[in-house]
Amino acid sequence: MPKTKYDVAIIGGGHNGLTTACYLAKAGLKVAVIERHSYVGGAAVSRELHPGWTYSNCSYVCSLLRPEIFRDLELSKYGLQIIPYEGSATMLDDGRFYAHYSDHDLNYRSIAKFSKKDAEAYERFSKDVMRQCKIIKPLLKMTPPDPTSFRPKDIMGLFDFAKFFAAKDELGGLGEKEIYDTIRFWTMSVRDYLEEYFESDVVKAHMAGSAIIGTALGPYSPGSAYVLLHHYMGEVDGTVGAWGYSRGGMGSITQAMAASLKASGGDIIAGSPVTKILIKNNRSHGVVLENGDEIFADKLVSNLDVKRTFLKVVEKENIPDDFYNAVKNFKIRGSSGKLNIALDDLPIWKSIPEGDPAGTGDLHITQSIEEMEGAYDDWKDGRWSQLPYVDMCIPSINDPTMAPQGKHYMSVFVQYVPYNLADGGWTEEKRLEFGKHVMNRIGSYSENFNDIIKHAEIRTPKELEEEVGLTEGNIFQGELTMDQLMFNRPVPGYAQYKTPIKNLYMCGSSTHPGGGVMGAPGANAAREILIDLKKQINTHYI
Amino acid sequence: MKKFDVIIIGGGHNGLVAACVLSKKGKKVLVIEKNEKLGGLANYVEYLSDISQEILKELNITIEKNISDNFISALSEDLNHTVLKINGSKNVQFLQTSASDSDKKSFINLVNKYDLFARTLRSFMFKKPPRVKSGSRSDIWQLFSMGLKVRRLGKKNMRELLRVIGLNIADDLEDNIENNILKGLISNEAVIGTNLGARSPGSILNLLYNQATNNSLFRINKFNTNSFLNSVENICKKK
Repeated sequence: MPKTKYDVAIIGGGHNGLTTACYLAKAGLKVAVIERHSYVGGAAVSRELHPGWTYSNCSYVCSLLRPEIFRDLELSKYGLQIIPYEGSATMLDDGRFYAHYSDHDLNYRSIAKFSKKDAEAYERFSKDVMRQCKIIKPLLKMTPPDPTSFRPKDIMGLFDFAKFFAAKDELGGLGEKEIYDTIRFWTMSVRDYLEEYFESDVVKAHMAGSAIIGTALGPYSPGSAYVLLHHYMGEVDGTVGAWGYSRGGMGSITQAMAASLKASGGDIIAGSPVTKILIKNNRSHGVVLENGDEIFADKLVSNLDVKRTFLKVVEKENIPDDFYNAVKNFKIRGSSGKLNIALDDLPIWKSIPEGDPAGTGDLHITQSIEEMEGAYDDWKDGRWSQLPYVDMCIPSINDPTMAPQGKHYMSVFVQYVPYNLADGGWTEEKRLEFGKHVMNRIGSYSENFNDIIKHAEIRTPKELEEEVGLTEGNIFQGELTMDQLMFNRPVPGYAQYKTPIKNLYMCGSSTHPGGGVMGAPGANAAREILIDLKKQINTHYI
Repeated sequence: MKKFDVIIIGGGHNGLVAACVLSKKGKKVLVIEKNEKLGGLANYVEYLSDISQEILKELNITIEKNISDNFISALSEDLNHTVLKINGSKNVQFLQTSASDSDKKSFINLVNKYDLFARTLRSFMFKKPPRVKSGSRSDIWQLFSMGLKVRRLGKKNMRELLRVIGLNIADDLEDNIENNILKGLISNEAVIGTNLGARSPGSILNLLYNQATNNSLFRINKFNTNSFLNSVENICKKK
């Protein structure tokens, strides 16, 4: 490899690493993304794991990707297309199903089937949640100030933050009642929150799913209502809260980013696992690859989660004890599993009629919030949920590129699955047993599901960790609880995308504002690096 | 027909204290209580861990103090019980335990950490909670002084307070202590009386709340409840 020196090298080619790289390359810097696998994408990938089928084998639907990033990186030009879906459904044991449609009137009638009162309440609920989405939106783009610091930048940041709350109502500040509502929303449990609106068990269960996906919280855990936002604050083509499929799988997002990066002159060095970050006099200046090669750069950015960065690739003697301990105690728990299934035919559901738009979006299996809390209890006891919360979708209905003609690809997200099993660790046998357990549950809601399975990839948090590098297989690169949000993320005092080591930055979802295929951590990190380099670019985001 | 300045519905300890304070200020007060005996829930506890000195001073009463030592035992299935002697808000002594020396040290460190945070929060408990956006000067001043108080903890402690206030007790204990009995001793104080579990975020806030009201992490038998209730009742009746 020729000895080139980069202005900035990014370790890890996930969607955030690529986003950071794109913005820096746009500013004229010489940038390289160093990726362990032969392909980039991290947890937003499309992979042909069964001949003819494309699996979005980690993340599977798209909504959170910030629209400014979409425009800045010209992702449409590089082939990214998001296909919104029309509805979602929860299937019930008694043969009924609850459908949720993007069409307002259809949705009202659907809820009214279970409760007229809830159909009315839904208007209030969606208004209140959308209000919370609007409140959090400017915070996503903000570099969290350090409330303990007296540096002018932090004081200004705190002032901006306070202004956001304290500004006069007519200047866009929050009203007093909104402030109380926001504090309650950020701290209460999703169950308590939904109880204030709905009476029907299934309506509540359908809404609560978004609050537990990917977290080690149950629907009764305080703080779970906030997680709702990580599933509502996105948008597809300007429709806030909508979700869609990325045409060609989630990998199309990162492929478009990679193409955008190359067009801006950035390099991608794939198939190159980084084993060590070179640090001298508390300054990083390069990395060592597995094959012994070294790559040098003025600034380094880690897209790896904070634990992997500082416990695996930075040597312990280079970081202060306080920081090391805080990283060691960072909460990043595996709680989800994933099945990717190649199907010979479209599943026929016992409850949802063929052609109903609700069947084209995400399909949930859950009966009630109580059942979900029970599923969480299993996780706490170190076993996979006996009645898991299942979030399935069949992208190939809307996107025929995912499977051969007439065949289908189904993505199955499973909550809860522990990273460690209480009865000894994971074995190949237990992994298969877990897969069978989930498929049995799905099978009991379908006429033909068990007969049309051609291939299934079964992933526990262990597989997610091994393949994507997410510690313990946590999909958000760290729990989304108040102790790890805003100025606490990832570690109090280091929420500004910087680390105790000079010239080493972080840009992954371990940093503010956290997980989801959002790109905001990557873009925020790029902004901080550009400020440090005294460079300016003119984009929508920065 | 009699007319009062204030009628208080319910003669629990808070109703009684309110009645005392008001009648001391010359108001004509009536307390209406369903039961024969005044005191409400306070009748179910023999001792109180703490009564605010500010209130005792305001009402000008002295309460009989329990001066005997306080012990806390945590029983273990393998008979390696842990016994603590509690003296004051954070003076904890191990009389018997199977925990390692490093665990004992971590335990004391945690008790001290929570004690510092609880004392910070305690000062807010005797004030009217400020409204966040009323625009009134006293509310703004109080919000400001709350912020100042937290800031005066110093950088390290302030960061830790802002982190643990949203954390669950199980995580903080697992990060610091190995011995299950010691973990149980502390987490009990974080979940008691609530519908939270040890893994529920916010359970540490609950612990700090308990610690701030009791002026001690572990509930100690300091004040005789009856003596307190009788004094308050007497004041009310005298007026």
